[in-house]
Amino acid sequence: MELDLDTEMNLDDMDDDLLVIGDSQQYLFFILAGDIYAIDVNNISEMIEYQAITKVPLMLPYIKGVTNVRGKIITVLDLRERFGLGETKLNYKTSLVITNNIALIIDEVHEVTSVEESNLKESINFGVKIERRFVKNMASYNNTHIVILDCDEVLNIKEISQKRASK
Amino acid sequence: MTEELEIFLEDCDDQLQMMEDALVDMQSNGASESTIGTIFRAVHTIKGSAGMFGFDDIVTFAHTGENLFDSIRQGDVGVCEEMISLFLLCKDHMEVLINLLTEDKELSAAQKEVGHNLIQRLEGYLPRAQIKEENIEDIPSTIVIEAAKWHISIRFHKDFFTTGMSINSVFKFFNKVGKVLKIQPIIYNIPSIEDINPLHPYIGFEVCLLADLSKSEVEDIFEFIQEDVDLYIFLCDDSDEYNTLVSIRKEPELKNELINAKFIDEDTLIEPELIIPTVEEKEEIVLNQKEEEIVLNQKEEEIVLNQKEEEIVLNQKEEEEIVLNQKEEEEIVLNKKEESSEPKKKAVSSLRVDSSKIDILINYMSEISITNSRILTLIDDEGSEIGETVIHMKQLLEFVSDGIMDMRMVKVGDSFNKFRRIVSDTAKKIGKDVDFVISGEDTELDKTVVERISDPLLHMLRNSIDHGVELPEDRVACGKPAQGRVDLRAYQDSGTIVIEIEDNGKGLDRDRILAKAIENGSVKKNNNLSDSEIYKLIFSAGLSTAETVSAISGRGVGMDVVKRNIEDLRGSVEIESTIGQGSKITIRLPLTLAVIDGFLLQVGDTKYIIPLENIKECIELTTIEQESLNGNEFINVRGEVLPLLDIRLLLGENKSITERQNIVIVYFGKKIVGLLVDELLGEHQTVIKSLGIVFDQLSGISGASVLGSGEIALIFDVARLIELRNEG
Repeated sequence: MELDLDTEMNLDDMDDDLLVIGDSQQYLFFILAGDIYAIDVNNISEMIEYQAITKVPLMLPYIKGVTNVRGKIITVLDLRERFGLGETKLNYKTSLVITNNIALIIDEVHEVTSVEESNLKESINFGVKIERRFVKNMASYNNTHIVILDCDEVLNIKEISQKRASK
Repeated sequence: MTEELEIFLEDCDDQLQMMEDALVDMQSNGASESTIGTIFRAVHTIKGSAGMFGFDDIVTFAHTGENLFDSIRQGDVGVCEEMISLFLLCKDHMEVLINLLTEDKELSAAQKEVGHNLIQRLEGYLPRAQIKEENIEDIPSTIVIEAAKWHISIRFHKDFFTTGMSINSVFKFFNKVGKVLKIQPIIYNIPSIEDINPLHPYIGFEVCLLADLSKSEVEDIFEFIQEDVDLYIFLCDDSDEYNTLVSIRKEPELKNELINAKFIDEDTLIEPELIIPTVEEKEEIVLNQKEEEIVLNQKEEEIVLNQKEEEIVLNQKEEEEIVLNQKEEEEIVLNKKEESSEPKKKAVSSLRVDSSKIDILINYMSEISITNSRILTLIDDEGSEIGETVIHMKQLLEFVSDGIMDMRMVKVGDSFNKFRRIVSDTAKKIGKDVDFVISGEDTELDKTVVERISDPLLHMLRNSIDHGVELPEDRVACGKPAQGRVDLRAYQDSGTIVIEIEDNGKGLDRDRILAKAIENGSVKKNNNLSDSEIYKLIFSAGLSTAETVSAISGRGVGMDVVKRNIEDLRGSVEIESTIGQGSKITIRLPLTLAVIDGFLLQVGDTKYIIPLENIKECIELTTIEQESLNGNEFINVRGEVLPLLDIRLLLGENKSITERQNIVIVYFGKKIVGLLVDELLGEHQTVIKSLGIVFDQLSGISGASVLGSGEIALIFDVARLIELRNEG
């Protein structure tokens, strides 16, 4: 009996996976300055709790410094500041989302779920608090529209590696 | 690319380099037996391994070269200057061939033409008889009249696979040189599944090969694996040899296998009792054999004579002696083997390891060290037994990491010697006579550094020859010897490696550099630059004082790249020059890139590390001195003026809150600066990690390191800090 159950469960899992491969994609939904944003999970290597950061001087204000993730040195970027939404206020929910060796500080992880392709929309010109270039597209999610971030633009190395303008 | 191919490529690289070194040596010192031998062996080795991979183009090409060298070796042909140049061209062509073929590309028509020409020129040097002989040899190979049937018995040593060779390629080669008539895999040595080690080749083969080859040529097939296999090769029609084979293999099943596979008739194998003895008989035979061996040994003859009449009534004492004798004899055989193989190949004393593997080890070592110091912090009691053990562990770990570090160190000589040819070629091309002198070849440097410094050095050497050393007639006109001299030196100096390139040419023209710099706008007209600052201008992009652009230099690109490369290695470069007497470029490099002994300190909220090799001393800045600073950026230290650099200010930190500040006096080359910092935290050995691309443009900080607490400290780039101070 037990064996049967297992097989059934596995099949369920597989169905789910197949769905994802088909016409939907998984996204991480997270809260930033009171709003929900989303990132394609393919951009994310891991998520960890906020941890101590070593400040690196002379960088742009939103480059908070570096942190040690199991011996690896990871750059930390304050996503709120990057979007001009003020500095993140740390609390126990603050998390780091690691993408491409850069950790993004976010206020809170909401959930990871898949969004069907039919629910994705072109980005709109109005009503979004952040600069349009950071918006890849929009997703309808629980009857609202959520911004899906363009990671390449958010992590544009040329832009974020600049030095602070003056002392 | 497969692993075997990579090994092949690496091997070829080495062989080609050896060849080039020997050829260049020939150019300057004339041909000697050893250089000719080196080249011959190199060509032969490349030919052999290329054959294993089926690169026929390389084989054919190398073959012609090998022939000529064989004649030279035997004294039939003398070596002349043109011949050496020809060989250098051949070496280049060989390199092209190897690179193309290993990348699975076809030769272009032009390259084929080059190869063809070279072969023709090579053949031009061959004595007539040799060519004829070649032809005669060629004919039977096409008609296959006297193809011989060879029996080849192979057993692979248990670590055969670790050599990177595959059994498959051996058989491919068989099919290339001839036809495999019969093959019998020997599988009875394969243990049962529980005992099997999948990395060991338990299999063996008995092969009958039809090929038009001599015995030594058959043996040549195995040249590259001969140390990793047991071979027994003989002509198939020789039935006695089969008996020998069966007896030396000491495999009781072999006889039946040979008979079943129809290598031989049952009747041909005589004295079966010798081959498959019963247990009791076995002992007897072994003893008999021993006795026979004793006969050979004259000293023991008497004892043996006494014993010989009674068959096997040996008491234990004598038995021991016999065993001893046998051992001695075995040793002699072993020694002989070693002696005979020695001239062929040097004993393998080095190990080839992918350098990235060492990097991984270093990384883990640092993780282990960090974890270990973390344990110590957690115990918080160094006196306890656990504490002592952890401290002991720390020492052991240091040994290990020192050892690993040492693996990365290589002598600069190999890489320097590569320049010899380029220097002589360059000088020849522009009609200059240059004596190129290398010293300090034994200086050891991190492999990565050696690799990355090679191109910049080459560039500067070319510059020295092109711009520095004058034409012979100009030199004579200035009262200098016609032959110019370029020195390439390496030595260690207080924790750094110094590489100098010095020429006795015309020196840098200060005014012309300045004029050029003003012309292209990189320097203002009313400047107040010192000589060394002006010389440094040659490292800025787009500045070339050469009147004409030659193939070698003068395009004004390059020197800026050189400088950047050196800075990437945490090094610095300086120029000294005297008009009419020459110039000297001094490059300073850290010993290794991977690890630094550093001094930990704090400025503001961040911890920093200064490489210990850059620190001269630490002094305290008292409140009184602080006041006496009075806005100046220097203080008096024992009568010397010490320029100060306030790190807080530089890094945009808030004003200091601590009352006492410390000064760390750092130096790089000849420059000294006092760094104003908050707190000194002590020595710290650390692995340098990259901060990541986001921080690429951040100057003054070269990397980061993870501390025992898990915190990250940033590493100062002292050379850059000093420059920043001087730029104001």
